[in-house]
Amino acid sequence: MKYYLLLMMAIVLVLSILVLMIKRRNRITTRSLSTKYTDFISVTAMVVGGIVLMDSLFGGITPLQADDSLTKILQIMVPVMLILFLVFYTYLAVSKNSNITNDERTEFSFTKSARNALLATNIAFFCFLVGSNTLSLARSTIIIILACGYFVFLGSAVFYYYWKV
Amino acid sequence: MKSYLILNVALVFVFSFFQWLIIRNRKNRPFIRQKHVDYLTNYAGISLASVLGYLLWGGNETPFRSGDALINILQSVFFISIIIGVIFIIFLAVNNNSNIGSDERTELIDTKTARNMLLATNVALFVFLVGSNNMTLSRSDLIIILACGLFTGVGSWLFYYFRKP
Repeated sequence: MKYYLLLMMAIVLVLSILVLMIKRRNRITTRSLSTKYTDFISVTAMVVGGIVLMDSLFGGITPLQADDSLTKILQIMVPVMLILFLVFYTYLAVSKNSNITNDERTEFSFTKSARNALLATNIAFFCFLVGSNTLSLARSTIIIILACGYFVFLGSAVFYYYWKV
Repeated sequence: MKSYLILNVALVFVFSFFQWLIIRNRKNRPFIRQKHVDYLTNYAGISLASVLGYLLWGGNETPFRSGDALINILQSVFFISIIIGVIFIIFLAVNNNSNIGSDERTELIDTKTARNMLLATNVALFVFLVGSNNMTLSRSDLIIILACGLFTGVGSWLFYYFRKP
């Protein structure tokens, strides 16, 4: 399963390089696909976080606890949310009729979304450590903590996109 | 020891209340420049430091592993960093002759610092989960992961503070 993780990282890196190469050749003419105002550090942080979350959700050999109904719900919700977000982002990228243009505030919206994700992750860490007796985190707990940050990031990105900072 | 964490939450609220009082009463006095501060990043940092402090010193019922020399070093470094950080913040607050002013970029410094902290935390989580067979994080793992984020945050903040973005 570790190969699965490394393979995903390789795919993400190759896709990133491809995007940069295509952009250099000026083949992308749609303004929405412009990568000029993208905060790559925030995007990389969330891609890495997403890979860890996916691996925790589907890749582990450790079985989930018997009463992990929340984790089972997250196993369905996270891919659905991710697909919806990708569809939404693709629609924005190919839609030429969008009234919302990209500028410096687009970059800030990514940065602020990452900040909100960090706050949510840290608060989730805090809450789970209050309830933990062993000071260690099980697979289900890691999933919930990472999912908190991930959902906050996706929600913040959409929020800031329509209500520019 | 749960009372320690609850006390931390109470301290955060008291701290926020005093910040609000300072802003309300010192709008025209540059004694403590509070206008361009990203409060969400501050709360994220405070909660991270609380969790890390609890993990480092709080849970005596869960002993460290025998070979945790790194954790012992982190205990000293974290304690010294907190003292130096508090002295530095007080110096900045009372020093009216600082050549480095406060403007919109100061808020951006905090936001970018939070973004870098998120990246460091997620990369550390990725590395530890790649090396983990049972998908659990022990107390020592959590300390190293959170310390990565915290030290990245301190380094980023100092870097951006002296070289404004």
